Amino acid sequence: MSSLDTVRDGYRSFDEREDAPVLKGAVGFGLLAALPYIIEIDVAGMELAAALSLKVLILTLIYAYTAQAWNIMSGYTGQFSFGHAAFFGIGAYATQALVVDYAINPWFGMFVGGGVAALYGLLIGFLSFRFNLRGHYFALATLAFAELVRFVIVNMSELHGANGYFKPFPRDYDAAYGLLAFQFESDLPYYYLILGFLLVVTVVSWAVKNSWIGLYFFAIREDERAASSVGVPAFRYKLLGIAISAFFTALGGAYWSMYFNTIRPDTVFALFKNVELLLPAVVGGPGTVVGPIIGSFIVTPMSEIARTSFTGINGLDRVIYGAFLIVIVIYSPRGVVSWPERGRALYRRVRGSGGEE
Amino acid sequence: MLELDSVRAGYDQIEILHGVDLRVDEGEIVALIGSNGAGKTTTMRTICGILSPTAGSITFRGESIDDEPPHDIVRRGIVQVPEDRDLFTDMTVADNLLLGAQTKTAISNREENLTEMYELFPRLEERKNQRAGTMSGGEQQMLTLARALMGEPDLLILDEPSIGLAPQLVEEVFDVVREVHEQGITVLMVEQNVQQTLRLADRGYVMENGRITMSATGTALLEDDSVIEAYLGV
Repeated sequence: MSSLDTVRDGYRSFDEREDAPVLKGAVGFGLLAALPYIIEIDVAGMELAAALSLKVLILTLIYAYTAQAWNIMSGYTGQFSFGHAAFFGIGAYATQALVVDYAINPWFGMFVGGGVAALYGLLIGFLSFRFNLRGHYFALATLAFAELVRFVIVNMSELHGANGYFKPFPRDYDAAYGLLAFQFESDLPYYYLILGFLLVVTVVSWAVKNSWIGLYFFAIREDERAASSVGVPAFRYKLLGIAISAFFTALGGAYWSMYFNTIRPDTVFALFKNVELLLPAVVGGPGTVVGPIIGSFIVTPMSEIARTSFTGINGLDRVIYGAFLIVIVIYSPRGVVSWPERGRALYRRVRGSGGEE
Repeated sequence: MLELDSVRAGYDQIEILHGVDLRVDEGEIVALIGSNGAGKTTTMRTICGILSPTAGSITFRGESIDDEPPHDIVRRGIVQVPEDRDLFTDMTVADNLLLGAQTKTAISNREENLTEMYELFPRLEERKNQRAGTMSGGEQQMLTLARALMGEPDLLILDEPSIGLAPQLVEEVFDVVREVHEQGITVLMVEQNVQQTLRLADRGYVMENGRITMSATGTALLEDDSVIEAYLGV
């Protein structure tokens, strides 16, 4: 037995432990918690921080978070939403409108946004699923609903129209910098806050996947007609999926609005925002719990690096970024998380032994 | 227990069932036979709520179930094994079985039922963590049956359970149906193995062109000249 086999057996016996997912999660999130320090380690005169700033890491976790939220609906139930910017923007707008216009604490506004987004999700779901919209048609309908909110807000002076909101100072709503105010004077606490958000949504996602609800979701994804003929109330569960997903996506929008200084309809409801929010899940592996996180660590830094490296020609970064995504989506529809398994399958085929497949 | 009263149903504008009367009493095995295109599968689908009748009524234990969606009919205790199996091929065998449990009692008993299914179908236990789509046709048929039984049905509806199976597997399917019936489950089945089915059934219906043309006990149908000529190929 080679040492590689020993390692493999060791991993397999670890994998069978009941608390394995918890331990893996702890290791993963421990690593993420240490990341701001890891990027500053000096290796042979180079440090990762040169390419990967704390700001990029925060952005990475934001999109990991939103992709995780998107995944609970679209990855699990297979109802591909292309309009999650609606929920994201609603979260951002509810938070800012309440804190700027009424000096209401952003934490409260965040949950108001979550509630409104969940209701909007239920409305979208109710209309679309009642009329049996599926696949591309459902995706287009969600996009239309997202654009609808954007146009409404642009034309609403009560919500500052196209100008959007400037984030107020904590003292404007009787708070001091800190967790309670949802504002910090440096980036590091922001990083740990979004890490906390990501932890919560990941635990929820994992719990859903391993519960009764997850079983129903996956049955619906695979064959909705068969699911309802064995007795799964598909309509109701699709609505549940969209409501959970919309709620958490809105919390991400609230965070966004408290991290960046301004929000406008053409930033939080931007057409491209719909893509950015879900992309990490598609690249990482839709329907898996780690996929959105791994995907975001590929997609977000890539996008940032492309943007800072190709400044000469306008839009070239998007072209390169787009080409990269096309390659991933075509050659790996099950996402990056399926690579180790595909690698093993390839290895077995090359070695000519069948394995236990 | 189940009663169809001049049920008409079909797809879009095309009517397939032109007034079907059919009755299943508690504890019976009832067979529905007929040539291809007679409307047997359409009858099954209409009972299960996948199609809704355009006229006539379907009652289960005295209550109308005409307009109920499939998932509510399952909750009433009518579970179907469809002709095309409808397995979740990318999900594991165990997950497929768990999805069969839908009523409150079936959900609370699902662990014991799972053990029982593994005893009844040992092959499924060997393959419980395998994806359902990777199993052979016979194993998939067993899984469909087992999944239906996980739902603790009062009335089990089988649509061509032995279709496409090797002879010894056909035998196995009939054994399971017999065993299920002994446990007190009422069975309504469509089958192409007419002889075997009628021998097992208490009563049988013959269906032609969307109507019931004959109804008698299983043995009487087996001895009927027109049945022998049309379906037993003698």
